[in-house]
Amino acid sequence: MGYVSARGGLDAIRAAESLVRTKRLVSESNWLEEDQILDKLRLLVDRVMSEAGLWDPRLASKAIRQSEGDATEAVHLLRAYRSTLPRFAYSEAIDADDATVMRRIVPAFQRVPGNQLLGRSVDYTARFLERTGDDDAREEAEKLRAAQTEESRDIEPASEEIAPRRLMELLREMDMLVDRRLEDDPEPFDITRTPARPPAPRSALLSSMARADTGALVNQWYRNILGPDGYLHEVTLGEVRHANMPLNVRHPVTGETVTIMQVRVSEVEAIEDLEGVEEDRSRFDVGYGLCFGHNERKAIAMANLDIACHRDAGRTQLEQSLLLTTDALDSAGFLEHLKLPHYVTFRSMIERKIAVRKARQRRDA
Amino acid sequence: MRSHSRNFAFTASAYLAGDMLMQATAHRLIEVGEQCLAMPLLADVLKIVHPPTVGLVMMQVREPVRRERFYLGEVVVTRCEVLVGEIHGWAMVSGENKEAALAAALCDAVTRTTESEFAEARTAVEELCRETRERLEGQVRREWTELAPTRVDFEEFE
Repeated sequence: MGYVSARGGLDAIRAAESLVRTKRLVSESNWLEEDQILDKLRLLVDRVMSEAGLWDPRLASKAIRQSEGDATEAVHLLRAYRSTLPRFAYSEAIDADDATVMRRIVPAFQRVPGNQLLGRSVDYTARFLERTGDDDAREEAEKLRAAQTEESRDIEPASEEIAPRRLMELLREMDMLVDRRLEDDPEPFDITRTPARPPAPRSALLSSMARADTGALVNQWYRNILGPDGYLHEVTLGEVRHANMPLNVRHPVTGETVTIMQVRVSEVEAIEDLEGVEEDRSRFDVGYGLCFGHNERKAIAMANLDIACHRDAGRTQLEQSLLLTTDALDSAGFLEHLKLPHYVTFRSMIERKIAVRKARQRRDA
Repeated sequence: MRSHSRNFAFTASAYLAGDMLMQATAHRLIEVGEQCLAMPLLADVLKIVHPPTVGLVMMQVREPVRRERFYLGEVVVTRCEVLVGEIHGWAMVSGENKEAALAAALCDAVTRTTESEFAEARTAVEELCRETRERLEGQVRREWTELAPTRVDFEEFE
């Protein structure tokens, strides 16, 4: 069998594309508005922005609609669009302490500076599937809206309530933390310009995890803490926050720092009990997680993996796994290319099998 | 140490016009921009240096564990630069919004004019900044009104 070049299928490809588009645009149900996606599927919008490494809720909702709810496909669309845009600037270095919280819990400590603020969370909600009819749900919505309007007296928050001190600061005051604060201020690694390869600076690891696939990161965490890697950490969460973080840039004319907008983030600090021979067993260490949007699962996994990677110090393949196998677009792209025609490679594989058989037959003859 | 505590708008009596302009709503920016352009003296001296362009800002964060900087991800913004006479105006607004970016750059330049013939435009921009500050402060208060009941009050047993 020789190699035969062939072409074809163009009409079929066009018809398949047309079928997708037609089925998406022409249906019996109402047109899905961007605002509905932003309001009603907010956590999906957040997840897509986080995994795309791109903050723009409106574009993310467009991508979700176009991808018919396929989060990974939506990430692909956003990353592709992002690649067409110029990079204007790096923002000013925004201090994580400048964020104002909408939710803040400290599982490690009961009485903390500021409050335990549960905020908008389903953590304490029984997972019963609501089977209320649409009409009843609409009626309830109207009642709730009316109740909101009646309670119109707004409350002014104190600054320590929406920007509470961290548990980490308290632990530092108690001399319970290993002090890893840097003396210098290294330039961060930009993973959008250069692929990060181990050994990489911590800033590359944090950036990679901040835009990693949520499922991949949770899987890495689970494998690391309970799985075959055999690292059973004694982990307690310090801070779990959902907060608004300002995007600040330098005004080129006035030289002043100006706030362009607020970006919502999930932020986690994971406290690790140190028990290694070469570690300071009288103190704790802390890992950090931060990602776009409200995605606590991802931020918790990130914080735990940050400290796990530090303690691992390159002894295992953890850093390599985090840097090279957790990106949604990389992994799904490689996986999905398998659906493309592999006629030639597979034909050559068959030819090799036939050759092996012939060689065996000659040897046995 | 808080590097940018003035972001807590409700605690700050002073505010930067730049902060408020960039965070004004698009429709109000466009309204005030059009109001300024309707003034012949201003429209005559307006030049667009860099037309509104959609692009990215890489968000840089300093984390609290090692006080180390890292890049969180990119944010979509629209940027524009204008000249009002000799005065540079610059704006960067969130998302894809070319009209709002142009209006914001114009308003930004207006805030630095001193000529009496632009006084009316300055008043309109100052009013926009004031109402934006009130809107942002109101948002914080409304949000907190919903959040405050979710604070945990611990009851200790002796």
